Amino acid sequence: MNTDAQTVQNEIIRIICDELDVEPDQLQPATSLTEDLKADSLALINLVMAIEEKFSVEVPNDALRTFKTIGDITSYVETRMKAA
Amino acid sequence: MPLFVRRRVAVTGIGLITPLGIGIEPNWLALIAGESGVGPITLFDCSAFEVRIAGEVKNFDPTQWIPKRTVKTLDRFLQFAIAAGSDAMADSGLPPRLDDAVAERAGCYVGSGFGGIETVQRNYSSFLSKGPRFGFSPYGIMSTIINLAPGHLTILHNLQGPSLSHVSACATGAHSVGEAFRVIRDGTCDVMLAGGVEAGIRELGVGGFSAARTLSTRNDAPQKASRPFDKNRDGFVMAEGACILVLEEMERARTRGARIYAEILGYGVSTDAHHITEPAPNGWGAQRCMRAALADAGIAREDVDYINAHGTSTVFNDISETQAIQGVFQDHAQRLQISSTKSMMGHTLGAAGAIEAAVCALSLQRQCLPPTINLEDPDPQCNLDYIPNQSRKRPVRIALSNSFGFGGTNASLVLGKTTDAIPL
Repeated sequence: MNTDAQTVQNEIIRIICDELDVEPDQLQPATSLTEDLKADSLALINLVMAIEEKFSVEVPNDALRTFKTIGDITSYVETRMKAA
Repeated sequence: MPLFVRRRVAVTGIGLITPLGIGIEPNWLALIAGESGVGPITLFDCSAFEVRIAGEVKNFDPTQWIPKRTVKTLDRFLQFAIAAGSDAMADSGLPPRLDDAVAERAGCYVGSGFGGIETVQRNYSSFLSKGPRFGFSPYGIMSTIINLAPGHLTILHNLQGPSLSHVSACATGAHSVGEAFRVIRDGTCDVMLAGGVEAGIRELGVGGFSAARTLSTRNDAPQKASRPFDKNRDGFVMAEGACILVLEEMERARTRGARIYAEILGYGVSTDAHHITEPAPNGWGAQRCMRAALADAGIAREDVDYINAHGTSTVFNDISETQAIQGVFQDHAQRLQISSTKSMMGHTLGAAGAIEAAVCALSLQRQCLPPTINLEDPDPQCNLDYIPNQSRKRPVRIALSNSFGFGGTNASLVLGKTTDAIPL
């Protein structure tokens, strides 16, 4: 798939909107997953699984635990895809 | 607390979701009018199935009770549980979240026969197409296991006392209510949310019961298919739904000015120890169960006015239950008024015992008895007064509700009229 950073970000935003029932304009790189989007541990795992499937990347537990904001997720995915 | 105290238990709230409607009044009106909630199955494609009818809950919009993003993570049985629990609490006049001071003495006994059967099916077929890495939802287990019904309800309503699920097939709802009644009576809790939930109208549910030849195949006349005690009955009709009751210690309920539907007077249990689906001969297990309930309530058999029968519309149960009632009540049996509301709803399995306890509570409050519909040609072996086809406004003081589950597990509840009853 198109690995352009903007495309990756758009796709991640689409997945988050889908899973958490929020609108794209509520989402900034600094948006907190737990504080702003009220995602609990299971919601986060569910979200990350959808992202893993879409981008064919693996997010091990220790990486998942570091995700605080949307920006954390996007940069992680972008880095993994560049490495691939 | 004195050693042998027996406190009294009131029903102060009812949450009802059935094939007849959502909420107390739609259900009550349909019950008294003798309407049927059975129809063609729409919840899955049953065109290749031998059985194509069921009692489905219509127009259920879970977002009325649950945020949209949470709905996606919940099996239908959990959506029913949360909705019925929320309605019951609102109906009782208790705050939606109990104060911490009360919470430790408030619990939740809500069970189900199947649990999240649709989620099981969905996760398994997703695994078959996508493999183990992406085939399973992280919510799968939490949406399947039965005790997540009390799991969610205790979080929503702040119930910190005992929470668990009783699982006893068609007796689940009755066991849940009966055990919750004991918990309050014996002094452990002051408030209990108790009931049963079922959402099994899926391939596994319908296919499985159909393969065991337990279901009616009257596909051309769905509303006539559930016909307990009728000579032409040919099996039960599967149904879905939920009923959750708020049970409360009587003095506490009176002090806060709660509206009391009825009092729970007694609870009896027994096991057939005979066969997994067929009742014991002469309904011997059911007899012991009813006697135990009457003894627990401290009432004589002549005191019972109405029995809400298990009355599934199977060849076996309806004869066996008739024999059991005759065995227990002897000469009084002919004076009893008995009906099976499964004739109208179908068999809601894990929810049935709780729904029928609620029907008894409403009958006692409103002094009116629902009928057994489709009773057009009574089985000669079922020769009691089954309130055929028309409801009756009659004085009712004591009601008995029977639930007999696959596996031979039996439960009977005795409920009594209180001074809150609406005068005839």
